[in-house]
Amino acid sequence: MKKIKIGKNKITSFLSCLLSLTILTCSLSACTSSKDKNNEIVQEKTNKLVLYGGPFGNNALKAAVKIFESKFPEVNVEYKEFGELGDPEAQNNYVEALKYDLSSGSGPDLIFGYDYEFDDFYGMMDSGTFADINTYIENDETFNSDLYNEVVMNSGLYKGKLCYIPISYNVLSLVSTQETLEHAGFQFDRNTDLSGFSSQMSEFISKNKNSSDELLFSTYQMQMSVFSPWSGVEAIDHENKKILTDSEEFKSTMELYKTYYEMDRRGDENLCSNTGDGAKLVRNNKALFYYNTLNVADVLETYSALVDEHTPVLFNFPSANNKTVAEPDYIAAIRKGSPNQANAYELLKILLSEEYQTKHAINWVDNFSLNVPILKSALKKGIDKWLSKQVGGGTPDGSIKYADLSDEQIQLFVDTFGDIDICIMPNANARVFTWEAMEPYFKGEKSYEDCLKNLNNKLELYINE
Amino acid sequence: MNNPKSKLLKRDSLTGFLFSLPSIAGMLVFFLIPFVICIILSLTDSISSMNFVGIDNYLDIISSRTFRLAVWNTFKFILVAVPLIMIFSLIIALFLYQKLAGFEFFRSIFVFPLVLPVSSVILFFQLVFAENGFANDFLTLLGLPVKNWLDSSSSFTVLVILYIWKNCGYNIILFLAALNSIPKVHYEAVEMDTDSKIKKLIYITLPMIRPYVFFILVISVINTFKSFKEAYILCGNYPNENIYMIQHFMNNNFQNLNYTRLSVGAILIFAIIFVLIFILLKFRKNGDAEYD
Repeated sequence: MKKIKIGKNKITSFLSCLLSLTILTCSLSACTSSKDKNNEIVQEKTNKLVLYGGPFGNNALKAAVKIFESKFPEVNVEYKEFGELGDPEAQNNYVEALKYDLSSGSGPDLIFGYDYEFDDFYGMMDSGTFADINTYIENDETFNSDLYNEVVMNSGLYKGKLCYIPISYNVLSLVSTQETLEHAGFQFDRNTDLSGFSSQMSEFISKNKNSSDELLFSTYQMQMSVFSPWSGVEAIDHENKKILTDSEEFKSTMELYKTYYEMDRRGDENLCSNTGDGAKLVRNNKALFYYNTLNVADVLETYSALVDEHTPVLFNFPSANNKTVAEPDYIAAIRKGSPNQANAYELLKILLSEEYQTKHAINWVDNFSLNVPILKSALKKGIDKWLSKQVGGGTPDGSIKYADLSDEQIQLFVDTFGDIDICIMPNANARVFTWEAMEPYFKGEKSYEDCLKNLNNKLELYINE
Repeated sequence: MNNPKSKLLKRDSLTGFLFSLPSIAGMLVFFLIPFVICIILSLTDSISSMNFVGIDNYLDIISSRTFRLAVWNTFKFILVAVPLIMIFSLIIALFLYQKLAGFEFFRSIFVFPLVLPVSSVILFFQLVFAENGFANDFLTLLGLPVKNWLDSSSSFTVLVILYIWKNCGYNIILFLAALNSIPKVHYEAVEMDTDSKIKKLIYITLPMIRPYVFFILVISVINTFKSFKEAYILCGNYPNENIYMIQHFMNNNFQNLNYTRLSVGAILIFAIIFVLIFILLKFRKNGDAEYD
């Protein structure tokens, strides 16, 4: 019995040593080998492509798929739709399907949609969901990066990998007229920085505090989620795991929004529900600025409607760091585990092609439009196309007429929307935290420091998770 | 070779095996296989590529301040809430054991929170502990400054109260069962020497319910992990740092599709709890030996 016991103990000890040695060897081998985690290779083409058409990106993706199918008829495209735009169930189903399929190692080969459709895009990039698109670009002699807006193109760089490419982007611009600005005593030009804008905004709002006749912005009340990113200030640097809320720029942005928040309380009332409303309000000095982030065509419309009898002006929203800020609109990424990456890359090239970008730039074609196309040449072509279709037209009652723009004015549009200094992919979680934590400060219920402490606690948890 | 007894034994073994096959299959499918997959995943860089990275993920997660905070908060919660609930439920069980008038009514009252839906419980707690809730109204009445109960260090206290309130009924039932299992003859023997209730409690009651205490302790520890449900509904997926627990960490990584990090967290917690239970079992074995 004793001999059996000794034998058993020896076996147990031997197995324990063997297991420890195996684990140690494996661990050391991982530590000492060259850590090329980005050792992705260019795949060979296959005969399949799987795509998910979410409600927001469905029409844009379908238009590209049509071109793809005509160019590559041998590839079987499996397209899964999730319902119509405006159906909350459809959007929910799309996001859930994407989440669970990606987590199980399957899902679409090319992930396409609006940036704000994804719960936490930075989390997805951290989890290694996306392939490095540079792997394909660097091995593709036909791809010319110089044709594209470099700043917007590189916004997809994360930890050395090009995780996504924006197909189009947004820029917050403000439209007004010289006459309206002079009437309001507002000194504003392309060199006005955020502090200059802030002090004048406070003065304007104080003067018109008790009147709803003259408003700062003609469109509905500007949400902080619109206000904050265009100031060029983010609460965190996700890539480097840093919290940026202790900067003066962040503080000045919050102070500016507090001033605006306190004074311009119109709830959800949208004063610009019809075409030309923005122009009418500005023209009649009822509002100082017209803004729109989602539709360059609306900005063109408003500007063009003011040309005849006024001197319209167009500016980028002033930023805390004096940079012109853009935000990605439609984005495309290749799934890392996809066996059909080569086909996904071909579809991506179609989304970036002259044919696709020019056709859909600014103008509503195939039930969608690219707000500001990433292809540099497509922006001016889109503006020219819009003008050729709209000039001479206007509202049915004749109160608004769209006038032609001069070459200088067209160039102003190209510069305003094309000369970008930074393109920031919004961090949805950080923005929600910022709003929730700072809201008591905007309402005057708590001090800035208290709210900031609360915000920093949440950001610390999130960024180090 | 053709021993009928061995044939019978073999047939019995096969029958036993076949009957236990569904449980074995369930154990394999829902526990062992996912556990092995979890270990494999924790040693790779992502679910898409499955590149082996050794212990890099473990080193990364251990150096994460958020993970360390989550582990600390979880164990702080266990160290505070479990002894409190054990003591509280034992005291109430001892009172109910006296079978005073109305004890059945009170027994039901204490079990009631167990059957209430979580959302109703949270709604009630929000009414009490919100910034303009009853708790702050009471403080104002006493001339004391109001507190932000749900988004400050007080949130830990709220969660402990919620945990005790929700789970003490279950522990009371278990303690009552333990008390009812003590043979009356022991009390009768002691009554010959003394009438002291304290001495009966110390020398009879507590030693006799000792085996049950370990079981209730383990159940209470398991229930602390389930309190994430209430914390999540009450305060969201990024609550105050005092109640940010392991489950928050794992749930958020799940939402972000970061399965490698999730797997590493799960393995580490498994290891910690394994060691904890091992130590408890050792104490229990030594304790039972001493008692014998």
